[in-house]
Amino acid sequence: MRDRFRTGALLRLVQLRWFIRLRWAFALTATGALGLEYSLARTTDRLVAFVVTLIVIALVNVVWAVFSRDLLAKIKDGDTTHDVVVRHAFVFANAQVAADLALLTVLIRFTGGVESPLPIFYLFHMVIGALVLKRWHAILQGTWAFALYAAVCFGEGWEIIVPHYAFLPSMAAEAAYLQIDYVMKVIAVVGAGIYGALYLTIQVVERLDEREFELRRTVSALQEAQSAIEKLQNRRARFMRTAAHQLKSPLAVVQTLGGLIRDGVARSPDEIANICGKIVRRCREGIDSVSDLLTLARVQESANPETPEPPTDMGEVIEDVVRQSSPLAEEQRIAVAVQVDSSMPLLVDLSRRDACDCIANLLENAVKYSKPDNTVTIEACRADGGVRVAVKDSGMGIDQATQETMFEAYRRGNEALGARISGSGLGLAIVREIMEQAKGRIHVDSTPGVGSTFTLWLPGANRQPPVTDHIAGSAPRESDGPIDEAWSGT
Amino acid sequence: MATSGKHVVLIEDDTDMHDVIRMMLEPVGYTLTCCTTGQEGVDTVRRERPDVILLDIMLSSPTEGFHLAYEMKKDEVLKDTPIIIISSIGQKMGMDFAKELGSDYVPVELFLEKPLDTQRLRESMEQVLEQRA
Repeated sequence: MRDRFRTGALLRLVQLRWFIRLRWAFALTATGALGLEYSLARTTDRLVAFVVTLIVIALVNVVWAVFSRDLLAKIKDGDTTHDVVVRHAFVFANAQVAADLALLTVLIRFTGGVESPLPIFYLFHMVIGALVLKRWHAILQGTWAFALYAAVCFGEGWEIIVPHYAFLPSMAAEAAYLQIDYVMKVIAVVGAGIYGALYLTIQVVERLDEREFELRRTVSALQEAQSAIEKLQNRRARFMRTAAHQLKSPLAVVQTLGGLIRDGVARSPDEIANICGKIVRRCREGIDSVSDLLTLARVQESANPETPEPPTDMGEVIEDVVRQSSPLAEEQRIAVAVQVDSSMPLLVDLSRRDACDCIANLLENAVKYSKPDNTVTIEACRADGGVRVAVKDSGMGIDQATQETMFEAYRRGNEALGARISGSGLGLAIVREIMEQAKGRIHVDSTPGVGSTFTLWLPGANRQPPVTDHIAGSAPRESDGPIDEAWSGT
Repeated sequence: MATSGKHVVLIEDDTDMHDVIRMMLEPVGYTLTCCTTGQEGVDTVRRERPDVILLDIMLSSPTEGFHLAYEMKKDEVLKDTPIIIISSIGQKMGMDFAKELGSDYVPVELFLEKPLDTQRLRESMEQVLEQRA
């Protein structure tokens, strides 16, 4: 992770030509200092070697500038992969630092060797290296600097490298560079400075990298959250628009029907009676639609109730819903068969009202979409630490495309529209919402022309229900009901 | 303009509206074929080649009618058949839906907002038929 941020910093520095510019600034400053020294001391012995060194620095910088242009072109054109560009950038940076350390050592050699104050610039390079290079590259560069400096100091001290150029003419007589104990101490101090600067800078950089990583992760999480909120807002706006249309629709039909009577388009008593019947039915459907919308709103609002509801026995819920739905079933000539595991209560962590809404919507759909003289079956049993409920009909079935969208609000299948079956388009959206909040699952298995089975699984209640004689003393039973097989195959 | 014998295909999931529009148009000479789903509607239009298409928006999905309008207007055979949208969705809301589909217009001849008025529907029908002629 650290190297990734280092890569970004390095590429930005390459793009800014930072190293190149810095080197030009150094060369100009050194030239100025040399001019100042010459004007004051009028010495010439060091001048030639020093000027040659500065010229070499300038020439090397021109070479670096050419390489830099080439690398920049690769970054801009994207004619090579990112990894290759990064590798080239690291090689380029390491080469520059290594060459700079060598040239700095030459300058130290011509400005007093062990007596020169220029080793301070080693630290400068170490800080830069620790900031932009990989950790081990920076440590290697430090070792390279230390080796170069020690070589110059020992070389002069043991008079392998001659002549010696004193930092100031007045220091020439002291010949400190020949005092090996002095040389050793200075080398030790410079070495401690080099490695100390590396250590401290690397430590600081790693902390900053961790912060940057955290910051990036936070920014990324915030962006994701913002995106999710925007999607939610758009979804809600779309829903509101659709809901408004759905509420307006029956009113518009009622007004249109009324207009037929008002404008004399419908004249005969039969026509007028027929239209009045439609008006009454559409008003009832409008009220049902509003009720469904209110149910959906209630379910969404009760996502995290402050007071947990007592567990609900799905067996009791199914009995109640079937009883309440019997007029509709009788009207449609549909028999409702109930197969509930009654060995013990089928307790779930779901409010009774939500459970009733779920089962009622599924049962109503099953009855509405079944042909007369057929049977709708509701099965319920314990399974997988919860309760499984299946509502099975032998109706018109649902095609695959509709199955993918039918749990969205105001989505209705072509089969339903073709069969002219009315509905608010909210029933399955309510079921899905309730199941999501209860951390349950819903699954549909349907074949057009054959029928559909909607299967719910709800997590079992963790809390104990109020003790009644009915359940006292009954042992929990791991039951495999008739619909277990249906789930195991999905 | 003579409307007698002019054929209309109505694509509308609300069967009450089928009866309503039939009562509004048949007395002045139109013949009407009613469809409840989009696919049935497009198939009927291809088969019967009506003089006018009356199209609801919210069918199996909240915007299916718009999709059908774009589909029919792209069809070489059907593109000249005038489409009148009849919907509780107003024209402005229709434009919002169109934008979501990546379009800056709704490819229909006329936009009639429910509730429908008999006189207005008949005049609108005559208007699009005159434009077509």
